[in-house]
Amino acid sequence: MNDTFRPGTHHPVKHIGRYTLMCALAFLALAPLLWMFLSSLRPTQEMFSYAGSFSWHTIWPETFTLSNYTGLLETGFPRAIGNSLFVAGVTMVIGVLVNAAAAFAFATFQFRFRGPLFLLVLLTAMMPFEAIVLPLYMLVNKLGMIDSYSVLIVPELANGFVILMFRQFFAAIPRELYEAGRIDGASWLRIFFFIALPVSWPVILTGSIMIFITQFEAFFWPLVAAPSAELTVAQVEIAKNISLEGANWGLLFSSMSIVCVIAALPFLVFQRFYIRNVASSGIK
Amino acid sequence: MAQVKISQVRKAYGSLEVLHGVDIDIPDGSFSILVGPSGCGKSTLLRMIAGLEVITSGDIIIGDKVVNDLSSPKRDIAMVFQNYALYPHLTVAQNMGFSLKVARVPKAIIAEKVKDAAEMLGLTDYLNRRPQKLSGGQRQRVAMGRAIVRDPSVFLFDEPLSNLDAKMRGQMRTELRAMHRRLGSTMIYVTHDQIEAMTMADQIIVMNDGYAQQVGAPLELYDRPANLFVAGFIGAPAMNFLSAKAAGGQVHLADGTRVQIQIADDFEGDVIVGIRPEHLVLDANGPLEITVDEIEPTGSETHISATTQQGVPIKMVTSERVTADSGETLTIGYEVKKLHLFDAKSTNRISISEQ
Repeated sequence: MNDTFRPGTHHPVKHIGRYTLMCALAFLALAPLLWMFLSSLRPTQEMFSYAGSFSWHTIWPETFTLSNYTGLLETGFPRAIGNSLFVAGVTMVIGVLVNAAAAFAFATFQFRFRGPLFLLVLLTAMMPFEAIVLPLYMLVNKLGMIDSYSVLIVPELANGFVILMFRQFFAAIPRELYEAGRIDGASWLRIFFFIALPVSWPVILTGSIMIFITQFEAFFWPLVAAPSAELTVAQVEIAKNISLEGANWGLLFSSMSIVCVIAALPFLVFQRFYIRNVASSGIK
Repeated sequence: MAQVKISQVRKAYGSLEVLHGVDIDIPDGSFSILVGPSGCGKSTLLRMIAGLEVITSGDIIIGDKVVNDLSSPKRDIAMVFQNYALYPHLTVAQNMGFSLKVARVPKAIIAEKVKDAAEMLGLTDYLNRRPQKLSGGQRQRVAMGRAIVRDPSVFLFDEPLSNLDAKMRGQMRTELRAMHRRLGSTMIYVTHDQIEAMTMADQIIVMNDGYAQQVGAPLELYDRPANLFVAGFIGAPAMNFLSAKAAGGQVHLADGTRVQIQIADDFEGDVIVGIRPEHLVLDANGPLEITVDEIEPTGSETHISATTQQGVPIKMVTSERVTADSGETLTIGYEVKKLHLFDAKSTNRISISEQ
């Protein structure tokens, strides 16, 4: 009965070899992060003193200190984290609604130019952001939005990839479900909110995480469009630790550690759904 | 309760017309079944009555209102879908009460109506379950319950039993009939299964190629099919067709034997004689010789697949036990009173009188 083949099960040596290789790769990927995190816990002067000859203390701190973290409190970092969380959070909530609504229209309604319009949506997903920064800047400048929260949020609401993901999901829902809703007297808005959205929570979750992380990682656009100090976001604030005179490595590492943890948390909690949906969206 | 009148209804997708002017009267309180092969337009017609498809031209009248431009909810109809279309995130009770909630009916009344419908359908124990925790038959009942609580004038069913196994299907047929008797509402039901149509309907509408071929009571269609299509579609196994020639009021089969029927003197040309398998009889003096291909005893009756001398396949059903090897020749006759005759060109029925 034991003739189902599972890779590695019959060859213990290969099995061990495979896992050794995977562990090594995982270590390679994680080592810089680990080093960054550990370094954020040591005094700045100790950071590079063991770099010349490799020893245990190249990685493991000799003295542990939280000064790099307490030092952050005197900078604009707390406010920047707040800004980033606010911008990413608002974009996430409104963005999911806007993108889902657009996707619902693409999936259920027949209208003129539906095909070409959807193609445009896909193109926005493929366009590198840097390519549209200039025209976008001129546009928001004309609208008087420069240097405000709205300039950080509004241009990021519509997300071609999230629309595509929602559309694929809505199109796969049997049409009869919407028709049953119609016959039961529900308006399209109600069908969207009370039938389509409740059954698509895995996509909502995935889309939310994608939008949140994209916004939380944003650097270039906030740097260009919202220069004033009270609007500075986390990534821009982190970059302030690097200047021509040299870098403040301690603050750099502590602030990056915090940002990494915040960005990774939602992904770690919901990764099961996230991976499943990116995998089943027919793109990757 | 309401009658439904379909008047010269057409449906076209671009230049492709799929319904070519259908006229049907569905009496108030009747159980009417639209039956036909897939692609005949029956589901499209039902969806047009439901308001899910736009009518290209013609009128659909429910009660005394032309509903062409009314949205589904305003048509006072309820529909049961083939795949049930239950809301997966709602419980059975919420599914059944959804339409009333949309209509802002007070909660106490919704609860009461849902409870009544659940009792009628034997769903009381399942009210708090989600659809995925139910069997196919139970889901089907919930879909019906959702229709019942709305108390509509017209119920529409789109192949509601085709996802169920044979046993459950038989049981649901009986329950549906009982439900119709109890509620007395007009019901329009779509199926491709002619047995389902024959056993359940007050009135059958046979559809093919976007035309209503014949409208009538089940046995009327069986006894007097209006054309070749209906003759071949209603009845199982299907009717046998033998080509023949008519002249001077007489009909001769291809082998030259005369069929003992009389038709109008002035009809001349190719005709088709229709004989149902159950109206063929073993008769040593009969006019037909057939070569046996296969014999299938079912116990109560025997099904014989054979070929006529002209090479036409023929089916016969007899209550007698027949033992014959394939390749053997049998001599058979037919019940003259139960013959059907069709014009080969127009495929329409030709009235006959026994000689």
